[in-house]
Amino acid sequence: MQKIKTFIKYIFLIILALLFLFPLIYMLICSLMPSEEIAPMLDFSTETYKSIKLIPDTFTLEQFYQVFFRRSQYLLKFWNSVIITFPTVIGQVVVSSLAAFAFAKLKFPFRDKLFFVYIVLLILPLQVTLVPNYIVLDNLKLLNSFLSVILPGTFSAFGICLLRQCIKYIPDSSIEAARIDGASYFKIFTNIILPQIRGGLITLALLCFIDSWNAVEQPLIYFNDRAMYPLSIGLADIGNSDYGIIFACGVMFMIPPMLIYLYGERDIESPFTTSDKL
Amino acid sequence: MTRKKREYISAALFLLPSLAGILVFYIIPYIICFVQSLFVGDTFVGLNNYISLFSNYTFTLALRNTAIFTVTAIPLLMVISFLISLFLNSFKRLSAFFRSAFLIPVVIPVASLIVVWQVMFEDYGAINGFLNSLGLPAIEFFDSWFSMLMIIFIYVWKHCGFCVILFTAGLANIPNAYIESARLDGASSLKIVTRIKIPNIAPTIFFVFLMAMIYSFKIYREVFALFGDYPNEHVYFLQNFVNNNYYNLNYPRLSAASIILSVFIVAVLLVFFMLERKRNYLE
Amino acid sequence: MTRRKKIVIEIAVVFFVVLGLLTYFADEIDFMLLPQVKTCEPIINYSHGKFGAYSLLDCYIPKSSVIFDGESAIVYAINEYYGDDENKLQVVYPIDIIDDIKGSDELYYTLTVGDSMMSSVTATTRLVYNTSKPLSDGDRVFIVEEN
Repeated sequence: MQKIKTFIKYIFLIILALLFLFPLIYMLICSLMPSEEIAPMLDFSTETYKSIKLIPDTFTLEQFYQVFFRRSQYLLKFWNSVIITFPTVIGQVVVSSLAAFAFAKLKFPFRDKLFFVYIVLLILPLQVTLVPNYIVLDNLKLLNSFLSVILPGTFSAFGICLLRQCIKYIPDSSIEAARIDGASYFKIFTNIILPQIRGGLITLALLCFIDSWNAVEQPLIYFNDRAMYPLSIGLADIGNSDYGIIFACGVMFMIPPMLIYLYGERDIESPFTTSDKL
Repeated sequence: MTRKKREYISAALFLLPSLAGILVFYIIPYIICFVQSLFVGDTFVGLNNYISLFSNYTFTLALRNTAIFTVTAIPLLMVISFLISLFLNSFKRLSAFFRSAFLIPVVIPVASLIVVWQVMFEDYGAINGFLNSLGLPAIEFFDSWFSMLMIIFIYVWKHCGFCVILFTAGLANIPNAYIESARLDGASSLKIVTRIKIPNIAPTIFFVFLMAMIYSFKIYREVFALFGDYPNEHVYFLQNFVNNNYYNLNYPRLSAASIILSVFIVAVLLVFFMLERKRNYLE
Repeated sequence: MTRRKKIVIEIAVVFFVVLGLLTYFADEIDFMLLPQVKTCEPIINYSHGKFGAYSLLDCYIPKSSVIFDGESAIVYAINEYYGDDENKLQVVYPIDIIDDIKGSDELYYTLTVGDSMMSSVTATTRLVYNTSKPLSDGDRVFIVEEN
């Protein structure tokens, strides 16, 4: 009886995992099909039902060849995404960790009320500040430059809330001991806090990276020059023209966040798995 | 300099970059938005913008859709991910493959998957093909209230993994002693879950709710990518409203709508904070 | 740093460096991968007389320039124009000449063409007779000069 139960549990688990992985697998498989197979798949005007082909008729790297060697505009858009995302992530991690330390361990007036404001800003949808930001950026003469997307992303409140959660679990005693030894707050920050919130930092980096990598609304509004559009916008438009290479482009687009995830996989779970509180 | 003063100054220094950035890019724009919502062009109209908004059919539609989505998708996500994390917990040993399988949807960029969703959900797509082979009528995912269902599905699919991790961590924090003693007392599994586990992970629940809410507004990206500027009437969200008014250069309406949206969110947050305060106080 | 992390970092570095190189040299790479074509102009026999409003001429094109495909015979001709960035682009476009073929001999097909704008192959059309890769409509090509 127990064995059957376990068996059923495993079957269910596999089905669940497949459900979550399916779109990824499908995209990978489609990226290996030549454009002749893709065209009927994406032609939604015919009256035939599409079936999901899991095994390509012909196995070819033609799509990747096209994306990497022949059509350089997608490579350029890829680098636009990189230019936007990397500084945002680095900035967020730095700014947020500094501020989170202050919120978690230092005492100052209005601390909790200010933090409430931060949480509110965190949940605020992008659209609320999207258009007024246009005015601010215009006054700062930052429109149509990459900074117009990088800067607001850097100062998002998300990192602070997340890291504050992590820093709170560091026992006060170690900080007190360091204070007694005469360490400045900054030294405490770099030597005690930072090493212990590795997991939180990597989680923040991953989530911030994904958020910025996916950004669509801000570049559309703040950039005038179409050549500056990141691949997140370019890939969404691609359906009208170069549909033969959609999947390979999607795979290429997916690689950087996937790399970060693979790098930090172990660490990501740790900030949420804190030690027994009792 | 007293020690406290030192602490204050240090805190100020640590906060400085963040505060400066938030001020410039979040607080000031918000104030601008608020001020703009009280004007039309150059004339002060007070609350007229807000009043005219509520008689605007598009706005109420957008408001209704956003509310429907929020009220449906967030609890659904929380419940499903909680159940999955319970399920995963019941395995003695779970290989890393399965643990990472659930996080993959978060990592894949939105834009990469648009075509996959289209192939699956289009009128002649894979799912309809499957339904057809069973003899059932086709579902127009892109043009009926099933659109909302599709969006909810994508939302849950995408964020389940992250919430599962949060819940798993929260569940792991419950001291085993509680569960063991309850089992010894003969409590059924259902009772254990409801009476012990759920109350003990209250802070986790709150955090998951927070994340779910944040992501529920980000779903706009998928909606925009799949439906364009003017989705059908079932998935027309507030964000669409704001965006389209931007293209129409209708700033007063846009600002008023944004303010309403933000007030709505703050209200929900305040309620939750009150609840949590009360709970902490009671304990 | 675990071994896994080191591998991931290595892959990431390789990935970005390769992409960087591909992007930096994208133009040169694209240029190198263009189909190399050799072109010629059709040989027109002007000794025919006039026929009605426009003259019909005999025109000889090399056999190797024609591609038969079921019901049509295609030759590719070159169209030159200036692209977005002021570069001269040479693009091929197909012409269906199945109706025009009058006859053939060892090396050439004889076509009936007019010398006005109404016909497809004209006296000034540059035809492709040799290519290093299969062509399709709209492809950019690189013309190999030969004496």
